[in-house]
Amino acid sequence: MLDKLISSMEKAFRSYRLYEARGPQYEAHVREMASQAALVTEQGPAFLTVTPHGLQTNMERSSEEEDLNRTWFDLFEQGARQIVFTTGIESREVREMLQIVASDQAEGDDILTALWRRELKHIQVVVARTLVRGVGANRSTQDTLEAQYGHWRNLLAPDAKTSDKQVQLSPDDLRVLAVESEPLLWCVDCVEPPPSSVDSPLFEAQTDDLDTFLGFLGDMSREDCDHVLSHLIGSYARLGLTDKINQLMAAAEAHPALGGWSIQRMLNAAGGIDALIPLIEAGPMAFRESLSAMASVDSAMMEELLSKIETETIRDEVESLVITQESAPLAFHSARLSSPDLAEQMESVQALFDLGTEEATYLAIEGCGSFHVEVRAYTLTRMEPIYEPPMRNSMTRLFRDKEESIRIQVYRFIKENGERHFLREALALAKDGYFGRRSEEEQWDVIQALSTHGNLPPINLFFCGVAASGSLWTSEHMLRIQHEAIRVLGKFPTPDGLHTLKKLSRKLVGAKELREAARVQLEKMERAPKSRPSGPDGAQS
Amino acid sequence: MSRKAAIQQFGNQLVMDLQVYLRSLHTHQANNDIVSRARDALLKTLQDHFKTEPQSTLQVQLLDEETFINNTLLPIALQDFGRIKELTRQLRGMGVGEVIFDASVTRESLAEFATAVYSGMHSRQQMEPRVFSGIQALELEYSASGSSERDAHQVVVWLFSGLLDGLDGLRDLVAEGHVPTMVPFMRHMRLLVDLTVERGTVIRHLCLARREGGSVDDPIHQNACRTFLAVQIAHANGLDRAGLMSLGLASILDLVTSGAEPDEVLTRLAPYTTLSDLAPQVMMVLRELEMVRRGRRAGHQGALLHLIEELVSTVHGEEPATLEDVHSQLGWAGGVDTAVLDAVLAWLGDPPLGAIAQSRSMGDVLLLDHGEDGETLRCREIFEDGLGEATVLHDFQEHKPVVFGSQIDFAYEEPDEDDWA
Repeated sequence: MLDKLISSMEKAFRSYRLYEARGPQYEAHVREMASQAALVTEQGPAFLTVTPHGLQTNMERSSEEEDLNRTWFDLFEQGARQIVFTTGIESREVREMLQIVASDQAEGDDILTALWRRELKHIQVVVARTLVRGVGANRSTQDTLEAQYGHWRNLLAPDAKTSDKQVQLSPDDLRVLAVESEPLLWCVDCVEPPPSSVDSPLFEAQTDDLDTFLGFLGDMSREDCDHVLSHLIGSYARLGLTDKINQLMAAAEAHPALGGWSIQRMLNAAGGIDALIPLIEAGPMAFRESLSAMASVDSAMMEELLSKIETETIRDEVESLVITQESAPLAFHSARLSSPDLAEQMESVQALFDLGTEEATYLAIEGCGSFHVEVRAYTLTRMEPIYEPPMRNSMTRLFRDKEESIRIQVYRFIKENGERHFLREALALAKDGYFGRRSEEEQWDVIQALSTHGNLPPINLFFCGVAASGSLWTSEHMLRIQHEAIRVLGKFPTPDGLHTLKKLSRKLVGAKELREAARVQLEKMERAPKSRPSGPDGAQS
Repeated sequence: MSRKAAIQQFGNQLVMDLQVYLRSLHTHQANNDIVSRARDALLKTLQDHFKTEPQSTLQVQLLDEETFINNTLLPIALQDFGRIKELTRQLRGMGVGEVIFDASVTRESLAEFATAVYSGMHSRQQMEPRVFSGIQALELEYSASGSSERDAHQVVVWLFSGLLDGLDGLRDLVAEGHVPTMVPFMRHMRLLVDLTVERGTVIRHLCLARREGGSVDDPIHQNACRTFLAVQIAHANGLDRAGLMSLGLASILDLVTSGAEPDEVLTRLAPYTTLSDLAPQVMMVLRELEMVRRGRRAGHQGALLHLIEELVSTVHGEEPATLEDVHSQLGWAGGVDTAVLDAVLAWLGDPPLGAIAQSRSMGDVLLLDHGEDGETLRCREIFEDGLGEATVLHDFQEHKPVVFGSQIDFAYEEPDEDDWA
C-alpha cells in the first residue's frame, strides 16, 4: 500500500508542475494522493523516508544505482528526512503541502520552515538540520570563535565583505565554554515535565492581525508601504495563504492606508492572475470577498480570470461568488438556491418571489427541487396563489415529493384549483394498487380532492366502484371513504351513480349503514326537483 | 556575479577536483599519469584562488547531506551528488570531515596528503598524519536535533551559542549598512521551538545561569536569553508555531528597532522583506514592545517580551537577584496586562527551577527539576568545587531567600557508571 502512496505522490508532484497546479488532471492526482494516504493511515501513521533518489518505505533499502529524483533531491538537500502521514488526512492538506514544496520559491525561502510553520495536522516532515562544529587540531579558541562568527555573518549577508573583526569574549561566555569544554553538563540529565495540555487564553485575541497591521501602514512613507505590501502579498501567494491574500485584495480598493493600491496592482505583486488561479481553483470560497471586489471594479479582469479557469464546475462556482445582490439579483439569488445553507436558500426563494417579475418567479419555483423540505413547502405555498399551467412540471415534482406533508399540501391545492391534469394524476393515484399503502390521512386527502370534483365522469365512475366495493370486513377508514363515495354519487347524479346506489340499497350483504346511506341519497334525489343528468363533459346543472 | 555565487561556483569546482584526485587513487598508483593530472588540476584550482587572495584559507566541510566551503553551503548539482557523497563517506571513514587549504599548498604536499588518504583507505584506520604544507585534514563534529537525550542537550548549547554569534553578526552588519536575511534565524527558531518541547528545562537553566558579574553590559547575551525564554513561555501558553517564530524574530530584531518611537518601527523594518508572511506579526510585536517600554498599554506579545526583558535584566544584573527582587521588578512594569504578568509568574514558579534555595540538611542547593512525575522537586547540592548528584529536596527552607545565583560554568562530573556496578 505504501508503494501506491509513493506512486500517487510522484504523480501529484509531477502533475503540479506539468499542469501548473490546475485543471481536472491535477485535481484527480491530488484526490488520488489523499485517498492513498487515507488508506495507508487507516490503522496508524505511515512513514516514508526521503532520499535523494526518491521516497522509500522504511523496509526498503536504498539503492545506490537508482537515478536521482529532482523533487525529492531538492527536499533532501534542504534537510527533509522523513514524511509522516497520520489518520484523518484531507485533500486540503495535500494541496497545501504541494503548494509549499512543489512551487517555485523565492531565493532564500526555506521550504521546510514554511511547511513546519503551517502545522499541517496530518502531514509532518521530519527534518535533520545539522549544526556544525569544527574540531580544529591546530586551531585556537580565537580562530574557532572567529570562524563561527564568520559563518553566521556569511549566512546573514552573503554579499557582505568578510569581517576582520577580532572576537573578544570573556572566559565564561558560553561560546568560549562550548569550544573549550562541555558546558552545562550539570543539567544534562534533568528531567522534562510530562507534556500538559494548554488551557491559556493569553494569545486568543490575536486573530485579526492583518487588519490591525493595515491600520499601521499609515505610519510609513508611501514608498516603504509599497515595498512591504509587494513582498507581503508575494509571500502569501508563494505559501498559498489564501485567506490572507483574500483579506489584502478585498481591502485594496477601500482601505485608507492602502491608497493607490488597486486590485490589479495586488494581483501583479502576487505574480499575476496565473499565479493565483491554482489557489482559486483549490478553494474558490476562500476568495469570496476579493473576487467580489474584483468583479465590481474591473469586470474585464474578472472575465480574464474566468476564461483561464479550466474546470467548468469551478468556473461556475467562481461566477456565483462574484455576483452581488445589488448588481445581479437574479443571478445572486439563483446561485444561492444551490447553497447548502437552509437560511440562504429560504431567503433567496422569498426574495425572488418578492421581486414579482415572471423571470424571478420562474427562478423561484426551482425551490421545488431543494433538498430542504422547508424550502419546498415554502415554494409551494408561494406558488399556489399564482399557479399557471407552465408551472405544471414543478407542481408535478411536488405531487411526487418524498415528504407526505408536501404531497398532502399539493392534494389540497388540487382540491381548490381543480386543474384537470392533476385531477387525472390524483385519480390515477387513487386507482393505483399501492394506494392502500399510503397513510389514511394521505388517502383521505386524495379522496377529498377527487370528491370535490365528483361531477367529472371519470371521477364519478371511480366513486361508483368505490361505493359498490364494500364487504362485511370493511375497516372504518374504508367505510368512511365509501360514505364519501355515496355522498358524491348523491350530490352529482349520473345514470351509473343512480344504478350503483340502487344496487347498493338492495344489497343483502355488506355494511348495513352503507345500505342506509344509499337509500337516504336515493330519497334525496327523488325529493329534489327533476334535473337533467350530467352531460358527457361532466357539466352539471 | 555575487560574492556568494562566486564562492559557491569555486567551491563546487574545488570539491569536484578533490574528489577526482582522491578517486583516482582507488585504481592507480600515486605516480600514475592519471593521478598526476588530477593532482595538477586540483593544484591549479587552488593556486588560481590563492593568487588573488593569498592571505585567505579555504575550509571545506563535508557532511552526509551538506557540503560547505568557508561556511557557505554548496548547492551540489544533481549529477555530482553521488560523487560528493562518496568522497564524504571515504574521508569520514578515516576520521576526516574538514579539509583546510592555504596558500602554502604545493604539488608535494598534495601528494603527501594523497598518500595519507591512500593509506587510511586501505588500512581502514584514522588518517595519520593530518597536517601537510598548506593542508589540514581535521575531524568534524556535527549533531542533529532530537537524535538522543545527550545530543539534544548539546544542540541546546550550540543553538544558544549560535544565536549569540548570529546576533553579533546582525548587529555588526546593520551597523555597516546591510539588511541581513532573516532566513537563518527562522531555521534557528524552528530548532528552538522543537527543542523547547524536548529540553525545555535545559533551556531554562541555560538562560537563568549567570556569568561572573552578570551581563549588564552585554545586550547580545540578554537578547539571546530573552528570545529563548519568550519562545518557551509563549509555547507554554499555547502560541502556535507561526506565532512563536514571529515572537522569536521580533526579539532578535529588537537589536535593530530598540529605542525607535513606536510609529517608526514599521519603517525601520520595511527593508526586511525576508520576514516573508511573518512581517506583519513581527512588526506589530516590536511596535507593541516600544509602547510598553514607554508605559503605554499594548498587546500581549509585546508585553510578554518586555516582562521577560525585565526578568532577564534582573537575573543577570551585577549581583544575583532574589525571587523577591524579580517579583518586585516584574510588578513594577507598566503597560502590562495582569494576564501576561500571571503567565510569566506561573511559568517562573515558586520556588523557581534554576534558582538557588536553602535546604536544612544540605545548605545551598540548585533547584534542578520536578522529577519524573512533574511534582517532586529535585536539586543538586552546591559544594565548593561543584555540584552534587540530583536528589529529591525534602527540607526546603521556605523562609530563606531564593536567589538566582546559578552559574553557567558550574563544575560537575557525571558519575562513572562502573561505580554503580
